[in-house]
Amino acid sequence: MIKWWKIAGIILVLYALIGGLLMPVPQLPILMQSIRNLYYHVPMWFGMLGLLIASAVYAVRTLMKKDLLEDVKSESFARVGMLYGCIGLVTGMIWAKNTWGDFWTNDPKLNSAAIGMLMYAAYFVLRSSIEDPEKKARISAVYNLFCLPVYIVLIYILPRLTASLHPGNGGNPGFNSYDLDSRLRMVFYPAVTGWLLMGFWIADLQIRVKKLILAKENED
Amino acid sequence: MNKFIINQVQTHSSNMPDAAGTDKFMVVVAVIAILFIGIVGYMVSLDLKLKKLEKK
Repeated sequence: MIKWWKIAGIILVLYALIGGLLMPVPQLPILMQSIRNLYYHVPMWFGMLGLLIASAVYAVRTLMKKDLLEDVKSESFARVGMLYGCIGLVTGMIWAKNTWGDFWTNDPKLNSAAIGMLMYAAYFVLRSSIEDPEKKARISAVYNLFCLPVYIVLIYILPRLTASLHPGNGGNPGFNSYDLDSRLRMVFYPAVTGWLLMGFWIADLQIRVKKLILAKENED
Repeated sequence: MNKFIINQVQTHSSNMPDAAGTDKFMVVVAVIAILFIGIVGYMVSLDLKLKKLEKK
């Protein structure tokens, strides 16, 4: 039997996918119908943040318990977080092309996101470069704990201090202040919750597969 | 410069036809829904298979 939160994730994302395309949206200047991307692009970043926080929590547990299984969980959450980050970048680029006229502008938020993603890419390179599993777990947990605060500063704090095209940054009003009316909220919040739950499900599947592999290796 | 870009994009956006509600749009919605259901189906089958293996 599938757990309730997985079923909730499926229902919420299906609702967000279909409702996001069919439900009415406010006709905002420049954004027009592209405002619908709010339901796909923004939940990816929210989901990614949630998954990266979970990864950091398991990194702390790895250091405290010295348990390899905690490291497996930390890596899986980071992996799915990066998948969400990549989808967030692609949906953002498509949105940028339709509203700002270019796939990639010299916007501080875009550049910060790219730097942050590269930092997490380095996390996976670091992991693959160490053979001893215990050493790998400890060093990558420390690096993970270094990455998260820097990533948050890069994506959520730094763009607010400089001029930026992104809503809510550099003096631009965010969607919360006047754009995000109740019609958008009806799909946006379920989309964020649904994608977060789906991300945790994907990570859960990965963790369980790796757990079985570890158990098999221990048997042998 | 920014104002010029915004004006250009605004003009371009306002000329774009509204696709929502057309037949082609419904096909897009159907394709996305089918793809998602396919992915979810795969995830559910994987979840159940893992549960069986875990019981063993």
